[in-house]
Amino acid sequence: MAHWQITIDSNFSAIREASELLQEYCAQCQISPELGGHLELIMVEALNNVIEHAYQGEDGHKIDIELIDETQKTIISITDYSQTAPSLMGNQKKELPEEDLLPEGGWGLPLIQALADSIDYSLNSKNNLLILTKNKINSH
Amino acid sequence: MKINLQQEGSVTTAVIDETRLDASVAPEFKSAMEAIITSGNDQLIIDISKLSFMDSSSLGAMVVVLKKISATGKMVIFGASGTVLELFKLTRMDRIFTLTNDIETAKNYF
Repeated sequence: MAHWQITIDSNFSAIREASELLQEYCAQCQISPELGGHLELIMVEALNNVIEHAYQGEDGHKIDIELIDETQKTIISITDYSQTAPSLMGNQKKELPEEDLLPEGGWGLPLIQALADSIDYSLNSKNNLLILTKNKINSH
Repeated sequence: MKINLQQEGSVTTAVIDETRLDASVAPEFKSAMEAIITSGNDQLIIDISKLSFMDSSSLGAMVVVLKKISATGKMVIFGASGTVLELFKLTRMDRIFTLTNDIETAKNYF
């Protein structure tokens, strides 16, 4: 089992840095480019969501990211310290925006739901923990 | 953000000389492309073949660019591959954008 952990500030440049580090980590662990690309997209979309919704676009807040690579699956955990419940809560299926209407957003949550095999939450008074699991076998 | 322009007749190719397009640069990308269109380049190939990663905020910026150019011109996206191409497909936006992996085919759209 391999393990990777990083704490970033709540801004988009920090997400870019985390994303690049994740790519390097996936290469080191010999995770396939396809799976690595999916993990990267899942993580980036989830982090964008945390900044936009949990932290209302404000930087200066902490986000913890942890990745655990197991034989059968890879788990990404994202912890924020806002008091806002994650918009992914409830396991409600988020529909893609209608493409003919030329949407300029609204794809983040449907993408996470399409690419992750499971989405779990743990909430308490101090933080929100989002756990995204990607299976390696029979995956999307 | 580095964007190199190549002109061939009435067709402009904007080569995105970056490996990543994400929320940290999406506003800059959108502004740069809008300026390119406003300066008269409305027969446009966007070459994204160097991109290894793109997120949904950047896809939103691409839609803004498409809307702007559609009033008078045309836009083709060249070189989407891997996770970048998958992003277009997963969001069904591959039905909206003209995508090709052959530069001559891209030029023939105009």
